[in-house]
Amino acid sequence: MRVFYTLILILLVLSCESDDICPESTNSTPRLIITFYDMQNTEVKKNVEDLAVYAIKDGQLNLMNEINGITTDSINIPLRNDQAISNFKFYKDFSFTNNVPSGMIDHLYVDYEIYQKFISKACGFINNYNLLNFLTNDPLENPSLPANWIGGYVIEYNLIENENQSHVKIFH
Amino acid sequence: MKISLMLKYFISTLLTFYCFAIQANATVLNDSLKKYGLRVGTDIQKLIRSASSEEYNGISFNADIRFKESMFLFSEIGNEKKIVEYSNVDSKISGNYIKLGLQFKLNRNIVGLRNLIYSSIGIGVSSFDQKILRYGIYNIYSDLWGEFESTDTINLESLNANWIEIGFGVKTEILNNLFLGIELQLKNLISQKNKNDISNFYIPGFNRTYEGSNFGLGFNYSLTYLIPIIKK
Repeated sequence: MRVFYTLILILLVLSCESDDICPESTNSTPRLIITFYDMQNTEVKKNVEDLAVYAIKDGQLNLMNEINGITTDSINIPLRNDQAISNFKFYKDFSFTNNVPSGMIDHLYVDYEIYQKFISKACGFINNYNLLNFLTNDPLENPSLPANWIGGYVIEYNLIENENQSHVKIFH
Repeated sequence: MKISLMLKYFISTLLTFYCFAIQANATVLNDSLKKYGLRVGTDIQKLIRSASSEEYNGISFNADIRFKESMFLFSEIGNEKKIVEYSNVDSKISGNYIKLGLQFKLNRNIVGLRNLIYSSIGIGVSSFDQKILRYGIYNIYSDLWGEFESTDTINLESLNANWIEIGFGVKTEILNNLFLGIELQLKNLISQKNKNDISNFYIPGFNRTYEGSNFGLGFNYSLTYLIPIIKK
């Protein structure tokens, strides 16, 4: 009987230490959704020709995998999580020759607040954001420099909690 | 799926105890459990875990008193501290609990032996704090900016929970008035208080929690001493 008790003890202790797995269907941290509209007719979507987006992190340029010279009227871009500002370079008519990117360049500075939202023990947390500012040039460096191809923008939804709708409209 | 595995252990254990109970009843004689008294003890499983694991620290004291031929009133108080580690979040829980309930003796007695087979029903109340020690941000698009992990702690204080608990156990006298027992417990949360929508990963006295379920499991391995009060 005592051997039996010990066996149960061991089995129970072992079975209690389980590792839960985060299911793949879990909603991840949402991305910022930008849609592009016609400058002349602000209700009509307009494709951007050969659009490429670089993320600028600590002086390093990282070309986004999916947005590398595509023609599209909407994009999803992840925001930076270790600080509450993300810095991007948007290229229109992008081309890449001899390792030198060229095209019409605009900077985009996205300023936001970060909120943590608990998902589960296995997945941890995701971030949600509250968009504060959307600037086409660095206000500290070139406050008066005009944008090259971006004509304006409108923040449609401040809260980035999901990817169900567009958060920002860009006119060009 | 882990729950079902644990249930399997639990049910098979219950069945084995049940067989043992039948066997014990087979050789029935008069009740030799003439001693009424207060039994006090501790859960040695908690002491072993405290000594062997860095992530756990716990102690509990239990007492029961026989107030009818086959009924005992029992109580347990305890303190537990536990660090729970998952791949994306670590948490530390610490707090106190108390349990109160009734135990019903199931077996009749064998001359010269003072074994006890019982089932119990009771309630548990716990008051505790949870501290998130580390957490990762779940982000499948982290290739652009890199993974982000925070070591900022999140303090969740003054949490509480209460639950119903049914148990099944055996106590056997190993020395005069000294009992060794094992008890398995099935628990169901009645209510619990969370903060910031963060679930309670572990509840002192209740054990680990399962997401989306009020179900809980526990067991103890107790050493108790019977202080004889009335000798009929």
